[in-house]
Amino acid sequence: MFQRRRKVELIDAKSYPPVVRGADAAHFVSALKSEDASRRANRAVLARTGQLRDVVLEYVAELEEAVRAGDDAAAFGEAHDIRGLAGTVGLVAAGHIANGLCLYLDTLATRGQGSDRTVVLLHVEAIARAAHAEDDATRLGGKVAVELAMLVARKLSDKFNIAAE
Amino acid sequence: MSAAAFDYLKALVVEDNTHMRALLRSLLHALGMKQVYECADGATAYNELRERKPDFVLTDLSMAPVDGIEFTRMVRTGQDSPNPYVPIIMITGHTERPRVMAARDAGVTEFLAKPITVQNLLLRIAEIVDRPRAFVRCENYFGPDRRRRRDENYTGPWRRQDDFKDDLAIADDLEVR
Repeated sequence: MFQRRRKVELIDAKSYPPVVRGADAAHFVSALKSEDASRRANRAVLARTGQLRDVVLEYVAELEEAVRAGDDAAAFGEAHDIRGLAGTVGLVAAGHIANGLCLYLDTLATRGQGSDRTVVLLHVEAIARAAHAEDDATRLGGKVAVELAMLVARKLSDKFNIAAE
Repeated sequence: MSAAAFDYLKALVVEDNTHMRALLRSLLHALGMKQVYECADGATAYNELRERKPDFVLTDLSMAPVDGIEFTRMVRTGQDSPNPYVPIIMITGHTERPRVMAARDAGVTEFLAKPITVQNLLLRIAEIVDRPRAFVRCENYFGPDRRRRRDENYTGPWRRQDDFKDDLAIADDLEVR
C-alpha cells in the first residue's frame, strides 16, 4: 500500500522582490527604530488625540442607544469600534472593557444565543464612565476591566461550559 | 537618519473606520511616507493593489463586503493577483484565537493588535523589511512560512522538501511506503 506524501515547496525570501532593496534596508530599519521616528509618530497620534477621544465618546453614546434598543449586533459593532480606537488615544480601560463586551457578545452570537442584559449594561456603564472620566491615570478603570472580564468568563462557562475564546 | 529613507515606499491602508484610517495615514506620513493609499474594504483594496503596487499593506480584519481574511486570500491565491508576495500586516481588535488562526491560514505576514501603539507599528514594519519571510506553497496553502521557530520537540509529520535537504534519497522520492 502506497501513500502519497504531500509535496510542500519552500520559497526563499530572496527569490521574490524585497520591500526595501539591499543596503537601503538596513538604513530603513535603523531609521524606523530611531528615537526620531518614534517621536514623529507619537506627535502625530498626540495631535489627533483630543479629536479621537471625542469620537470614542460618540461611539459610547451609540453603544448606549444600541443597548437601549436591545440590538446586540449593533452593540457589538460600537464596542468593536471603541476597543479599536480607545486604547490608542489613551483610554486604555475603556478599550479593555469594550474588548470584554465584544468577546461576550461575539461568543453568544456565534452560538445563536441572546445576551444577559445585566452583563451588557454593566459593561456599557463601565465603558462610559472610563471614557468620560478619562480615568486611565488611576487604577480604578483597570480593576473594573478585570472584574468584568471575570464576570464574562463565568457567564460563558456557566452557559456553554467553555472559556471565552 | 532623515525621513528621506521613507520617501519612495508605498503603503496601502485598508480600514473601514474612517478615524482609524486617518490615524494610520497620519502615522505613516509622520514617518515620511508620502505615498499612502487608502480603502475601506477588501474588494476596493484588491483593485488598488493592482493600480498602486504598494510595497506593503496594513489591513483591518472586520470589513464589508470583503473582509481582511478574504482580501488576504485573494492576494495570495487569486489567479489575477498582482503581487502574491506583498507583506500584509493585519491590524485587528479580534484577538479571539479562531479568527487570528483563520487570518494566519489566509496568508497574513504579521499581526498588530489594537490598540495600536507607535512602537508596535514601527516594529512590525521593521520586521517585514528586516526579516522577510520565506513562502510556502502546498496543496491547501500559499503564504508566508507559518513556522516562526524551530521546535526541537516537534513530533508532527515532516513534509517539506527543505526538511529533507540532508537526505536526498528521501527528498527525491516523494512516494513512501
